[in-house]
Amino acid sequence: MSTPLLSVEDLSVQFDTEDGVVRAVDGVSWSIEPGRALGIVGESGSGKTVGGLTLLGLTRSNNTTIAGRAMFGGEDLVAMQDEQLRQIRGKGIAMIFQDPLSSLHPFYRVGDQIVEAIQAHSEASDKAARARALELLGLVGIPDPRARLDAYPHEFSGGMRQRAMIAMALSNEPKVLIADEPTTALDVTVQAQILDLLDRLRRELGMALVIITHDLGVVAETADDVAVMYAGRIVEKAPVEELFARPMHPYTWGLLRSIPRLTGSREEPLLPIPGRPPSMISRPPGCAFADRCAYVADECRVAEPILSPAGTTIASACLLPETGRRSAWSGLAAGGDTDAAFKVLRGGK
Amino acid sequence: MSEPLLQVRDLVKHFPITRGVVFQKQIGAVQAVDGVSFDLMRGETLGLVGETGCGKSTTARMIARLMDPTSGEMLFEGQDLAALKGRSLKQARRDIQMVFQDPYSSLNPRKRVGSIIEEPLRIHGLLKEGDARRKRVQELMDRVGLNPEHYNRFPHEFSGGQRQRIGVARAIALEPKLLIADEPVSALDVSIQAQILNLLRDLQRDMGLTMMFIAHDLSVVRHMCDRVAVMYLGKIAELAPNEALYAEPQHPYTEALLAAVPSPEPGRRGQTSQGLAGWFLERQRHWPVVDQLNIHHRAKDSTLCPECFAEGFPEWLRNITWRGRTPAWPVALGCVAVERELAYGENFPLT
Amino acid sequence: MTRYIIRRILWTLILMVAVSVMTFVIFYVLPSADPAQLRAGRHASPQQIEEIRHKYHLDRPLLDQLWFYFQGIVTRGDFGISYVNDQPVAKLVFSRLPATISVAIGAAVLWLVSGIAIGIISAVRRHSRLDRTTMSLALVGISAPVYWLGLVALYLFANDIGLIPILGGSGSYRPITVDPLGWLNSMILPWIVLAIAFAAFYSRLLRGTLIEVMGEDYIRTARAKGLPERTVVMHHGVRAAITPIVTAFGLDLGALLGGAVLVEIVFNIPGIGRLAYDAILHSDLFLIQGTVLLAAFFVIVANLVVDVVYAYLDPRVRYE
Repeated sequence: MSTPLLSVEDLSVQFDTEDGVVRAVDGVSWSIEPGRALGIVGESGSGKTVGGLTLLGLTRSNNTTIAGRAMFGGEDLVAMQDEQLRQIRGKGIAMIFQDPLSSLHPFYRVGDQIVEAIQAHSEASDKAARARALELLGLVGIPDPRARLDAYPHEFSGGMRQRAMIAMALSNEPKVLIADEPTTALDVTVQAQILDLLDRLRRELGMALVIITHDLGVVAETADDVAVMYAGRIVEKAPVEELFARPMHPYTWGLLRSIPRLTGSREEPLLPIPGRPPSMISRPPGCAFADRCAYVADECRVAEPILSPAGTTIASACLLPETGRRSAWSGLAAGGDTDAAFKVLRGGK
Repeated sequence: MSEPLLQVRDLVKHFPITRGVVFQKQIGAVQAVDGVSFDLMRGETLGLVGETGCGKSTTARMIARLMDPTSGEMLFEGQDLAALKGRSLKQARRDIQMVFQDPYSSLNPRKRVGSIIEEPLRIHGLLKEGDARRKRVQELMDRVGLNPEHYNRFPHEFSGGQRQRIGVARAIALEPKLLIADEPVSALDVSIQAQILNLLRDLQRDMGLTMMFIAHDLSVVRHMCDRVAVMYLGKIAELAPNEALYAEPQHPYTEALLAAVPSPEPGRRGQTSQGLAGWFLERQRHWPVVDQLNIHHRAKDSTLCPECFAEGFPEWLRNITWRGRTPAWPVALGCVAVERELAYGENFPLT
Repeated sequence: MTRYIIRRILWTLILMVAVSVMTFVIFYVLPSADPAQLRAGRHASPQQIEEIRHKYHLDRPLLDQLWFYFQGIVTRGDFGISYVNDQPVAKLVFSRLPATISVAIGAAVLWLVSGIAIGIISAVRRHSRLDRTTMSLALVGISAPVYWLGLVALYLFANDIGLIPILGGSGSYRPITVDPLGWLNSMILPWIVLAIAFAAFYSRLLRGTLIEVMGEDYIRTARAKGLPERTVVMHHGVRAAITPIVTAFGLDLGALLGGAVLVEIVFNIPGIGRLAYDAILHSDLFLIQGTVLLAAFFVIVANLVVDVVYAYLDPRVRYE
C-alpha cells in the first residue's frame, strides 16, 4: 500500500451557536491513497459534509473552532494560512456538491465558470483555458460540448449539470476529489451514469475519490473503503466487502437491516433503528448510539468507545465484546431476530 | 380477485406551452400524463415508479382532484371523479387522502399539531367540537406513534420522521378508502424511512386501506406494493404483480431502471449500472419493428442537433427526417409509443 | 432576448396609453366643477370660460374630447396652456427639465456609489464595528425626512444663512449652460441631502441581499474552486445581489425625474417638482395634467429599462 495522499488525524469541528457549542465533527481520522475511493456514510447531521468542507477551509469563521490535523503533501491543511489553502482548493483537492443546479452560478455561462476555475490556478490565456474547458466537457461525456460551453446552467438537465460540475472540479487535475452526495438529487438512471463517470475518472486520472453519501448502495458500488459516521464520529471503518459482509457495529447493523432491498423476501418487515440521533450540543456521556442500541450495556452509558481494530481489516467503536458481536451478526445475517442476537451478545453477562 | 375501487381510463394531462408577444397562443403541450389506464383493487397497494417528469405525481394529483385532467375517466366506486362537483366532490375527497413528500413544507408552521390533525374532521363536520374531537385526535396520534401529550406543540418541535407521522395522522383522520402516498419517505434519513414504511404498511393492513404508493426508489416500492406500474414519459410502460416485475421485467425500460439501482452488495460494481443510452444501444437488437416515437423539441435548442443524435444512436434513429424548425419525427420504440416534449434533454438522458 | 425586449416595449406603449386615458378621466370626467372653469383659472370672466370651452372642445361629446386630447399630445406635443403663466404647458415643462435632471442624476450617482460601497463592506464585515456604525447611521438616514435634512443642511452650510457658509444655498440655482461653477456650487447640498436618504436605503438593501447570497451553494463552489475571496465577493456575490438594487434604482430615478418635489422646494430649485407644486397651489389644471403625465412617463420608461437590464443581468429571465 502506498503512502497516504491525504491523511486526516483527529479532526474536530465545533460551531458556536446561540444554543450552545455544536460538536459537528468530533475526533475523526481517515486517510486515502492515490487512485482509491473512500466512502463516508452517515445520516443528516452526522458530520460527514462538515468534515469535507473543513478540509478545504470552507467552514472557517469566527464562530468555528477546528482542531486536529489534515496532512496533504507534507503540510497541514488545518493550520495553513487562508491564502495558501486557497491555492490548494480546486488544484490539490477539488469538491463537488449535492445539488448541481444551486451549485453553479445562475448568471454565468457554464464554459466561463470552468474557464474561471482554470485561471484561478494558472496563467492560461482565455483561448487556452476555453480549449481546455471544451476538452473537459468532452471528457465528462457531455454531448456537443462546443455548443454547451456557451449555455447557462438552467439550460442543462440535472445529470448534465453534475457532469459540468465534475468537469469544473477536474480542471486543475486535482489529486483528491471530494464528492458530497453527488447523485442524491438525480434520477436513478442518471445516478448510475454519474457514478460510472466518477469511477472511470478515478481509474484513468489516478485521482483519490472521497464519496460522502447516505446511500449504502452508492457506497457499495463505488468505494474501496468505507467509514460509517454517527453523531460526528466514525463508528466503523473497513474495506467495503468486509463492512457489508461482517459489520461489527450495531449502528451499521441497524442501517443494513433498515433498508428495503431489490432481492430477498419482502414479507419481512423492515427493522428501523428506533429513536433519533442525539443532540450535537449537549451530548450525554458514553456511546452516542447507546439510546438507540438494542444491545446496550451499562458501561456504554459511561465510557466513550474508541475506534479500535475488531478483526484484521475492520475497526469499530463499540464497547461490547468482539466475539459476541461477531456471532450476533452471523445470527442476524442468517435471518435471526434482534432478540436472538441480544442473547448471543449479552447472554453471557 | 377483489373488485376494483378505482378504475382509471385513458387519463391525460397536457400542460400548454404558450408563446406570443402580447397575446399568448398555444404552440404545443407538455404531455405530462398521456393516456394512463389501470385498475386499483380494494385493499391492494399499487406502486407507481418512474423518474422525474414521468407523470407519476401528476397522475396522483388528478386522482386526488388537486388537478383537473385534460381528458379521461377516473371511476371511483363507479363515479367519475373528474365529473364530480360540490357536495359529491367533498364526499369523494373524504374518501381519498394524500400523504406528501416534504414533511417540512406540507404542515402549516403556525398551527398546533392537534389542530392540524383535527382540520379534516372540522372541514367535514365530523364529531362534536371539543372533547370528542380532541379524543379522536389523540387516538390518531397514538396510532401513528406520536405521544398524544404533544397535542399542543408546533410542527417545528418535531423531527422529520415525526412530522411525516403527523401528515399520516391527518390523512387517516377521515378513515379514507384510498390513501395516496406521494414519495412519503424520500426526504427522510435512511434509519427513519423504515419507521414510516412500517407504519404505512401496518395501517394499510389494520384499516383495510387501499393505497397508491408513489416513489422513485424501486426497492422501497418493492417492499410496499402488491402490484407496480412503471411510468415512463407520461405512459405506463409496464404494470405487473410485484414479484413478476422484479424477477422478470418485461419492458426494457423497467430492466434499465432495475439495473441502475445501486445495490448495497459490493462486488456488483461495473456489471450492472448503465445509462439509458447504453440501454438503447444494447437493447435495440431485441426490439420488434419500430413503429412510433414522437420527439418534439424546442427550436432554439441547438444542442440537440441531428448530428449529435446521430453520433450515439443506432442507424434507425439516424434516418429520421427533420421537419421545419420544430422537428417531430416518428420513430419507433417497440412496445411503447413515446411522445414527449423534450426540453433541454431533461426527460431524455442522452448519455 | 430581442423577442423579450419587443414584448416589453409593446407593453410599455399600451401602459402609456392606459395612463393617458386615466389622466384624461381624472381631469376631464371626474371633476365636479365645470372643466372649462377649472382650466380658465381662478379669476376668469364668463366670456373667457366660454372661449376655453370651445377652444378645448369641452362642448363636444366625451369621446371626441378624448380624441382631441390624444391628437394634441401625439401630433403636436400639445398639453394645453398654463393660464397662470400664459404659456404652453410643454414649453414650461421642458424649460424646467434641466434643473430636475441635474438634481436627480447627480444625487443618483452619489447615492449609488456610496450605497453600494457601504452595503458591500457592511455585508463582508458583518457585525464588525464599522458595520454596526454604518447601519445605525443608515437607519437615521432612512428615518430622517428629506425636507428636514435639507433645512439642516442649509442651516449648516448655506452661504447665506449657514454656520459654515461654504456652499450655495436656497435659490442659488444657475443653469449649467450659463454658469457651470455656479451650477455645481448650487447642486452640492441638494445632491447630498437627497443621496443620504437613498444611500441609506440602498446600503441596507444590498447588505441584506449580499449576506443572503453569500450563503448560497454557488458561492461555496466559487470558494471551492480556489478563487480569491475578493473575486468570490465581487464577481459571484455582488453580481447576484445587485439585481434588486437595479430594480430599486430604476424606479427611484424614474420617480425623481418626474420631479424631486421636496428638495426642489427646500432649495428653491426651478425644476418639475417646483412647477407641479406651484401649479397645484394655483389650481393650474393643464399644468398639473402635464406634470402628472410627465411623471408617469418617466416611471413607465424606468420600468422598461429595469426589465431590459434585468434580463441582461439574469439569463433565466430571458426565457419566459
